[in-house]
Amino acid sequence: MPDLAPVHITTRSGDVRVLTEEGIELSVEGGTVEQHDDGTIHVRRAPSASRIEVRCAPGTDVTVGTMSGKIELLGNLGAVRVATASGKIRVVEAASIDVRTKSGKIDIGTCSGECRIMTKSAGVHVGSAARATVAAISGVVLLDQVGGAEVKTVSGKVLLSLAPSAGPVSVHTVSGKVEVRVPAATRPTTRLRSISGRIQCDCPPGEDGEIAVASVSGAIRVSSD
Amino acid sequence: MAEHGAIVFTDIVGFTALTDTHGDDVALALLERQEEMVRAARPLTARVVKELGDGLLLWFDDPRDAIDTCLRLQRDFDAVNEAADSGPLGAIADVGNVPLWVRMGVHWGCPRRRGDDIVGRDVNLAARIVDLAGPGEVLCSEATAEVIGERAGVGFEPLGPVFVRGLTEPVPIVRVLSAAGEGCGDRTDGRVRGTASR
Repeated sequence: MPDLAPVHITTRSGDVRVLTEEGIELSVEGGTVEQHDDGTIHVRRAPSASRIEVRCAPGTDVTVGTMSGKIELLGNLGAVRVATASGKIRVVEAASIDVRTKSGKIDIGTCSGECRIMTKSAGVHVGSAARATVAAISGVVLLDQVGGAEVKTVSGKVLLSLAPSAGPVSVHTVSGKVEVRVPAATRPTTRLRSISGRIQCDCPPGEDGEIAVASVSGAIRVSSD
Repeated sequence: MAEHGAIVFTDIVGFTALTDTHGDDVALALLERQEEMVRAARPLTARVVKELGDGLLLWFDDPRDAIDTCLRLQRDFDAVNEAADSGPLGAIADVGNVPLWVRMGVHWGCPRRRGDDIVGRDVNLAARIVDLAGPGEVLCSEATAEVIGERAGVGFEPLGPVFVRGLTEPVPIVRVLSAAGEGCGDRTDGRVRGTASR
C-alpha cells in the first residue's frame, strides 16, 4: 500500500467534511489544493465556498484548523488533529485523535489509539478509545468503553465506563461529580479521595486495574455493570 | 532595539472558575505558588516580564532554556499535585487542596521593548498558543521548534496549522514532550522532529 500523504485543511470559518473512500487518491470540493515539499497536502477554503468537502483514502492522517463551523470527519482515518474555537466536532473512527476547542460539542466514535481532548466548555462524548486523555473546565465528559483514561476537569461532571481489562484510570476534578463503571465481576484497586464530596464504591477490591479519583468537593462513585 | 528571544506565557487552568467556587484567598495562594515555582526554576538568562491575571509573561534569551524550563516546571507542578493527592487531607490547606494545573505557550520571536515590557505580534501569538494548551502541557510555535532543532530529552509532536484570534494566517503549532512523554520524536507530518534520548 503506498504511503498516504497527510492532509491539512484550514479555513477561518465554514464547515469541513471529510469522507473516506477505498481507491480514491484525493477529491476536494470548495477548496484549493497545494502540495508542500514535505509531502503534505494543504487544502484551504475557496473564497466562494461556504464549506470544504474532502474525500480521501481510508487511513489518511487529517489535520483541521478552523475558528468556527461544523467539523465532520467520517470514515476510517489515521491520525486526526483538530484545533478550533467553537462548533460541533464529530470524528467517526481514527487511529489517534487530538482535538482542541474552546466550546461546542465533541463527539468521537471509535479511536483505536490515544484520544486526547482539550476544551474549555465543550461537552465531550467518546464511544470507545484505547486510551483517553481529557481536560475540560466545565461541560460533561462522557467516556464509554475506554481502555484507560486520564481526565481533569474543574467543574465538569465525568461519567466513565471502562472496557474489559482496562489500564490505569486517573480522574481529577475540583467540584465535578465522578462516576466510574467497571465491567461486571471486575475487582479494581481503587484510590478514591474527596475533601467534602461523598465517596461510594460498590466493587469488591482486587487487582483488576487501578482506578484513582480525586476531587475537592465532587462526589465519587465507582460501580460495576 | 528589538532582539530575538523566547516569549513564554504560563496560565493557571480554570482560574476564573476556581476563584468563583473557592474564593479569592485560594486564588491568591495559587498565583503565589505558581510564581514562586517559576521564579525558582528560571535560569539567569530569563526574566519575569510581568504578572498577568492568572499567569506570567516570561522572556528567555535562549529558546532551549525556555523549553527546558517549561518541561521542568511541569514536572515540578505534577510533583506538587501528586504530593497533595497522596498526603493527608488538608495537607495543602493554603490552596484548599485545589490542584495547580498550569499550561504554557512558547514562541520564538522579536518583540519590541516598552520599558520592561514587551509588545508586538510575537507576544500576541505566544498568548494565543497558550490558549490551545491543556493542563500540564507545553505548546510552541513551529518556528520555536525549528530554532531549537534536535535536542536531547525533548520531542516535538506537530499539531498542524491552527487559526488563532487576531492573526490572518494559520500558524503551525507543536506539542513539546519530555523524554518520558510517549511519542517523543515521532514524526507523522510537518518538518519538526525531536529526539527522545536523554
